[in-house]
Amino acid sequence: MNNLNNINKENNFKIPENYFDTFSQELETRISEENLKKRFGNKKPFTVPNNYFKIFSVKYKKNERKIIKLIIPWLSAAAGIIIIFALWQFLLTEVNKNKHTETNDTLISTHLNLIADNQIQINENNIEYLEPEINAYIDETDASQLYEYTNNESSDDILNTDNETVYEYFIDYADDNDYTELLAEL
Amino acid sequence: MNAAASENKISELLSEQNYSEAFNLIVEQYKERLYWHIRKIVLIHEDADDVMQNTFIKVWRYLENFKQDSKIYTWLFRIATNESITFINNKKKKEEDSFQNYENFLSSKLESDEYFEGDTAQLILQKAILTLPEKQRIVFNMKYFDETKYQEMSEILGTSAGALKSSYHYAVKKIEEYIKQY
Repeated sequence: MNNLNNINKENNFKIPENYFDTFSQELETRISEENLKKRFGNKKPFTVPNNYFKIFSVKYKKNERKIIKLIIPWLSAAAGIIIIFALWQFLLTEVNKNKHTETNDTLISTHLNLIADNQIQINENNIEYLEPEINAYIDETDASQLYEYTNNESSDDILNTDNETVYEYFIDYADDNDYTELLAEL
Repeated sequence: MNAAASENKISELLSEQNYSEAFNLIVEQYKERLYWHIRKIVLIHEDADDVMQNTFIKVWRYLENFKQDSKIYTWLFRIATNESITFINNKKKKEEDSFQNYENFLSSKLESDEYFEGDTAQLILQKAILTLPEKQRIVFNMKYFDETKYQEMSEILGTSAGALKSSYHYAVKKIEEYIKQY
């Protein structure tokens, strides 16, 4: 008896969370469901054509698998060809770009050498062509030094201006001056 | 072959990568159950047949990718449910384009359907079911006609059992309310 008295008399059983909240709703559902079944039953009111399940077969299933199997290698091959073609085009463009740059460099240095040797005169046609070299030179050279090679006019402007304007200045100057001396410095 | 034995056999065939035989067994074992599941959603036999074809074609297409994380039965019913919903939505869109309500169209079609053998009372019940939102309709059909367990439904529909109970409760209440007028 003493042992029984020692046992905790508190309720040790547990119930799911919200059990009593959902219980009344479920009971209500069951009652309504029973009423519906009493009136309508729960037998499906549908039928199928005779032997429908016996003769049922999935249409085109084999063809589809065959088609997929046939198409996949072709698709892979086509994708491969496209990638190779794109790579080839890319490489070709890069090579041409380099070739073009190399050709330009060679022509520029040939021009510069010819000018330095006084074999050709600089004019408005080849001054445009030498633009990158002139710009590079302007970048590296003090504007006042450049000014010495041109003339003494507008010296204040050329000392406080950007490369583009300096270049324009040289182009204008090219129209009626001999550049040999200037370009020999390039 | 009972359901558990066929599930095991299908699993075995899939593990052996014998997809053709696994597929044939799937069609044989599940065509009727899937058909009735689909038919209760789309109602008309010809539509159910179309959805069945689409379902099995999907099964065939993705069988190799089926990881067997879920039961084959659950996977099949999930595909069938999704295919049915897609089919209904496409039909709805077409009907809406021609200014017709799809549910009204279906209920009038049922009245003249040679594969609907219900009496007037059954027709009233079907019309009442048609007033439910799509998901509620599926839940009601699965519970009321097939007595599917909530846990099973939860795996197929990807909704918690608690939410499904609530959904069924509201469906039953709405139907009860609808049939009061008859």
